[in-house]
Amino acid sequence: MKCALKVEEEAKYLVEPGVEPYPILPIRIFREELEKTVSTDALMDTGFDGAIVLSRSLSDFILDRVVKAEGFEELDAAGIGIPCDTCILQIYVGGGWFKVRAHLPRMGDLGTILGRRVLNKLTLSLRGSQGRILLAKS
Amino acid sequence: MKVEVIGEIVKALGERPKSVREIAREVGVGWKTCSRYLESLRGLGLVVEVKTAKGSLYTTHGSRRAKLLTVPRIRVGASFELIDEGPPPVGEVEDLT
Repeated sequence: MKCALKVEEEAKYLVEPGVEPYPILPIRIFREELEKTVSTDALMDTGFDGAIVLSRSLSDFILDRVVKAEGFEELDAAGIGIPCDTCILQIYVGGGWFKVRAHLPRMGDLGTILGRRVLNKLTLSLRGSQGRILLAKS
Repeated sequence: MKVEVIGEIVKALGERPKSVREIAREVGVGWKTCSRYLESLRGLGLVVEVKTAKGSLYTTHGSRRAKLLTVPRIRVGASFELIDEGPPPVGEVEDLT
């Protein structure tokens, strides 16, 4: 049977010494007050059931200069509660825009992580052996 | 209804979803009394009943925390770029909040 899906975007695995390669996706973040769109990468993490965690630098940028936190939530990171500010953002990934509640940790840096709330909306093919990720239009 | 009991029930449910028996034991009231309290709290929208194969569990409304099973060893997205791009097309944003 022939696959009818059409590849919309292609992304790649991040290769770093001492760590198994990680699948990452390019994303864009929009908020009216930003005036511009943020372009960055996010780690695909099916072990995260939220939408997105923002890296320290991105959280600081968004909270300090642009947006006030709209809520507070504790993120359960491997059993440890990490206090997070939350705010509503629009993110673009895999050919679609999504309005999501983002977690902005008040301490530490988890990097930018894309969770199942968004990943479950995408059609993805992980080709780990080739270090490639294919995104199809759902 | 006693405010203290309500407080104890809500506190007990803050940890994880629990059965009536577990809640009753923790709060120190009888099973039937606990069930009556939970029914009232459910009616007020403060408690949610989750039916499972082994019976009903109760949890506080909206108490579910986002979970990250493991903390990644690498940090992605430390750098970012601002690009000149307008807002998403109207009506093409799926709401996942």
